[in-house]
Amino acid sequence: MAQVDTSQLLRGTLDAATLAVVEQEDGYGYDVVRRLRAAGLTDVGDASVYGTLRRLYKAGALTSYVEPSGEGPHRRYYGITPRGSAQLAEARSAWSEFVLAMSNLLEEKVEVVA
Amino acid sequence: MSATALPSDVEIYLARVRAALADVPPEERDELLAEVESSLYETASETDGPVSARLGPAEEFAAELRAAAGLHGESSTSLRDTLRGLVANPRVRAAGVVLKELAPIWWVARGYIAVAAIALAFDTRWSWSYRAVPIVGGTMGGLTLIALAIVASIALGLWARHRGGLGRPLLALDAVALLVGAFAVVPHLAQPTIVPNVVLAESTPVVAQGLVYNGNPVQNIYPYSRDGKLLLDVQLFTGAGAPIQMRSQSPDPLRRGVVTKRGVSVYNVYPLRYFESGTQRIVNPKAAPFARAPKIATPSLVRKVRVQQPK
Repeated sequence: MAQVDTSQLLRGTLDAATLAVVEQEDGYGYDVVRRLRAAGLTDVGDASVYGTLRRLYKAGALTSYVEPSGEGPHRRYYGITPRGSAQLAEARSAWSEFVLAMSNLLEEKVEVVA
Repeated sequence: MSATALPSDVEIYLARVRAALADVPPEERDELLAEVESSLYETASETDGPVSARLGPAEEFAAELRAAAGLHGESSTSLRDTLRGLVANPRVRAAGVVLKELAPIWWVARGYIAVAAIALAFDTRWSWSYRAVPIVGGTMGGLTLIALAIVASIALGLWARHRGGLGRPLLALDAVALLVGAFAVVPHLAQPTIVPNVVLAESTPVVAQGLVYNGNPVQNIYPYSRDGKLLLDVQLFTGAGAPIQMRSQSPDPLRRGVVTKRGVSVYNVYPLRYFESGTQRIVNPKAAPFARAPKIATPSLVRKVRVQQPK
C-alpha cells in the first residue's frame, strides 16, 4: 500500500524531480534514473523517467546532445534550459507550500498520537 | 539500433516495446526507443538475469513510457473509452429517452420505407397522382400494401419493446437494412413528378419543316400547263403573297440557283433542278413524273379577247 502511494506521489512530482536532477548536472536517461533512486526515489520506473525526459525536452524545458559512449550506443545527455529552470522554480514554490500544509496537518496528528 | 551487438534478450525486449508502440508516429517512437536502448544496454551489463525480470513485461514498460511521454493511448482503446463515455453521458441518456418516446414515428417510416425499397428493387411503376405510392395492381393496391406494412412495423416495434433486450440485435439489424433502403427511396421521392407521355404528345404537336403533303415531305413540285406540258421555272406564292420556298439550312452546291434580274436569289421556283456533280450542267432539264399530263378540257379562265381600240 505504501508503495502505491509513493508511486502515485511520484507521478505528480516526477517532472520537478527530473528537472532538479538535471539542473545539478547534465545526465543521460539511465544516469538520471540512478540519481533519482540514489536521492531516495527508489520506486521510480525506468520507463517513467525516459518518457518524462522526452516530454520535457519536447516542451522546451530540456536541451539535449549526443555523446559517444565507450561501452555501447551513443548517450543522449539532457541539460536544463531557462524555461526548465523557470518551471523548476515554480515547482519548488508549489512544493514548499504543499509540504508546509501537509506538515502542519500531519505533525498535529502526530502530536495527538504522541 | 546501434552497430554494437546487443544481447539477444535486450533485442527481444526492445522489439516487444516497439511493437506495443506501433501506433506512435515513427519519428517519435524511434527517439523514445533510442533512449531506451542505450539505457537497456547499460542495465544489462550491470545486472544478471533477463531484462524483463528487472523492468517488468515489455508491454507494461511501453505503457509507462507512453504515459510519461504524454503520448495518446492506442486508438482502439481510446475510441472504445470515448464511446463508453458518450453512452454514460447524462445528456446522451436523456436524448435516448426522448428518442424512445419518438419511436412510433420511426415505426411508421420503417413500414413505408420497406415497401418503397422493395418496389424500387423490382423496378415497379409509381402512381402519377401520388408519386410516393408504387403501383401494386393499381394505386389503391400500393396504398393498401403500405398501410399493411406500417401496421406490421408498429406491431414489431411493440413486440420488441416488450421483449426488452432480446429484440435489440434484431432491431439493430433491421434499422441498418432500412437505413440503406432509405438512401434509395429518398432520392426517388425527391425527383420531380414525370408528366405522362400521352400528355406530352398532346401538348406539343410535331410540326414538320419544309413542304409537306398529307404529312409527307415534298422534295419537288412539277407544274403542267392546261395542255399537259411541263412548265419550267414557275414561281409559287401563297394567298398572302409569301413565296412558297424550299431551301435547306445549308446551301446545296448542286442545286441550280435562281436569281431575279436584280440578282436576288429566290427559292420558290419549281421544279428544282440540279447540276451534274462538278459542272454547271443540269442533269436532266425536262425530268418530271410524266412526259405529259392530261389536257384540261374545261375552258380557260382567261380568254384572249380582241379588244378593239377606239379610234
